[in-house]
Amino acid sequence: MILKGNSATKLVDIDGHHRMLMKFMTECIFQKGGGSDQPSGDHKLVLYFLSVCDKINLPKYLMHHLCWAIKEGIRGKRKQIPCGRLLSEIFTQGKLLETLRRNKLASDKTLKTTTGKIINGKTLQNMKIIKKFYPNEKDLKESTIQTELIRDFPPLYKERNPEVLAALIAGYVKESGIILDDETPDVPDEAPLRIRGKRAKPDDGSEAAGVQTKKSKKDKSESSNLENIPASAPKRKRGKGESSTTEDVEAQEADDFEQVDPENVIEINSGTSSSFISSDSSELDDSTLSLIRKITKTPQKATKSVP
Amino acid sequence: MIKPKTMAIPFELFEVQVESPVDFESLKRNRMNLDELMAAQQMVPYFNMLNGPTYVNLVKDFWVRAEVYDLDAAKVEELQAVSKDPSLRGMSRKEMILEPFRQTEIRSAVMGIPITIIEEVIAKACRVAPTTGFFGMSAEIIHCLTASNL
Repeated sequence: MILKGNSATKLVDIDGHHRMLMKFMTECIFQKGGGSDQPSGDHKLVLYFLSVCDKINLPKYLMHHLCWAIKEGIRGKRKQIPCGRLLSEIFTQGKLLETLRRNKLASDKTLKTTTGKIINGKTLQNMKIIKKFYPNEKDLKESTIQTELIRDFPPLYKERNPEVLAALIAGYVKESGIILDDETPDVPDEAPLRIRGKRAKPDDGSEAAGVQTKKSKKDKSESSNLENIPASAPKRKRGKGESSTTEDVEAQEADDFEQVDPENVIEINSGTSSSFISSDSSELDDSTLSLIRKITKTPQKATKSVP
Repeated sequence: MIKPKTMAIPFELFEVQVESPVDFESLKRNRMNLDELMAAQQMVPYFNMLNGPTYVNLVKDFWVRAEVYDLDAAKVEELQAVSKDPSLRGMSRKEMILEPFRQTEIRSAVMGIPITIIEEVIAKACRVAPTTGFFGMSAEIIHCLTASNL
C-alpha cells in the first residue's frame, strides 16, 4: 500500500502524504542517526498504523526508543541523543528546572537553550511535494517559552527536601567546575589583551580604507614612533631568491609576532603591528635592527609591484 | 555521591536531536491536510508540546549517566546478590531484600539530582493517555506486514 508492493521502495518514491508522515516519524517521534531514505522495519510498522489511522501507543514507543538509544550509547555505538525536546519537557514538568533555578543553575548559557526547526508549508516545497509555498502571517514561530506546569505530574525524584537537593547540586558544582549563574563574568568572551594574530582591520572594511591602511603602515614603519619590542624577539631568515613583496613583509611581520612570547608583549595602541616595536635602537639586538631596516626599505619596492 | 557516567563517549561528542514542531495550519494552507489523521492518533497536544525550549546541556548531562532498568537488569541484580551471598539462591526478590520489579525505568542524574523516568512520565509529558493504542516491535508482526505488501 505505502511502498507499492515492494519492500525495497525508497522514500522518494512514495506519495506526498506518506512522505510527510515519514518525516514526522523521523524528525518528531523517532529520530534516526543516519539518512532517512531507507526506513527501518520499526519505522515501516509505525508508518503503517499512522497512515491507516489506527492509534499507536506513543508513550510506549517513545520509552522503547529511548531505552534502545541508551543501550546503544552505553555500547558506544550511538552519539545521537533522541527526544531532546521531550526530555526537556520532562525536566520542566518534573520541577527539576525549578530546583536548578533556585540553585542558580538555570541561565540560558548554562542550559544551552535551543528549539527545533518547524515543519510547515516551506518544508513541503523543499520536499518538492508542492511547487510554491504560500507564507502567512499566522505561520507558527519557534518558541522558547516554557509550557505551563501540568497538575499531578509524576515525581522525577524522591528527594523533596530543598536543603538536601541544594547539597546534591553543590556537590555536582564542586566536582564538575560548572559556573553558577551569578558568577558568570559580564563580558566572558572578551580578552583583556590581544597577544597574537593578525593586525586589526579597519571598522568600515571598505576598499578605500584598505588602501589607507597600507599607506599608514608605510608611514608608521618609516617613522620613529615605535616602542616596546621585546629584546629577545626571534627573527626568521629570508631564503635566497625570495622577493620582498608587501605580502611577504606582512607575512614575516605576522610570523615574527607569532613567535614572540605573548607574556612579554603589551599592545599599547590600536592593534597595528608598529605598536609592538621599540624606537630606542640601543635596546635592540642586531637581528631586530636588520628586520626594521628591511621593513623600512621594502614598501618602496612593493609599491611598484602592486598596482 | 554523584551517579557515575555510564557512557564512554565524551560529553561534547554527543549530539542532541531536537524534535521538529509541526505547523498543521501552514500545511493545510499549502494543500496538505493532515487534521483527520492526527485527530485519530490524538497526537495534536504532543505536536503542540514540541514547540518549546530544549535544554541541550541538561539533556546531555542526563544522557551520559543514563541506564535502563528493565527485566534483564533486574535479573542481573538478582545474580549479583546471589554471587555475593550464595545462600540467597532460589529465593524471591523480596527475600533477597531487593525492591520488587514493577516496570522498565530509565535511571540517571541531572546536575547531581538522581531521577527516574517511567512510561507514565512520558505519557504525561506528551499529553496522551498511557495505556491505549497499538504497540508492537516483534519480528513476526513486521514479517506479516511485509508479506502483505505494506
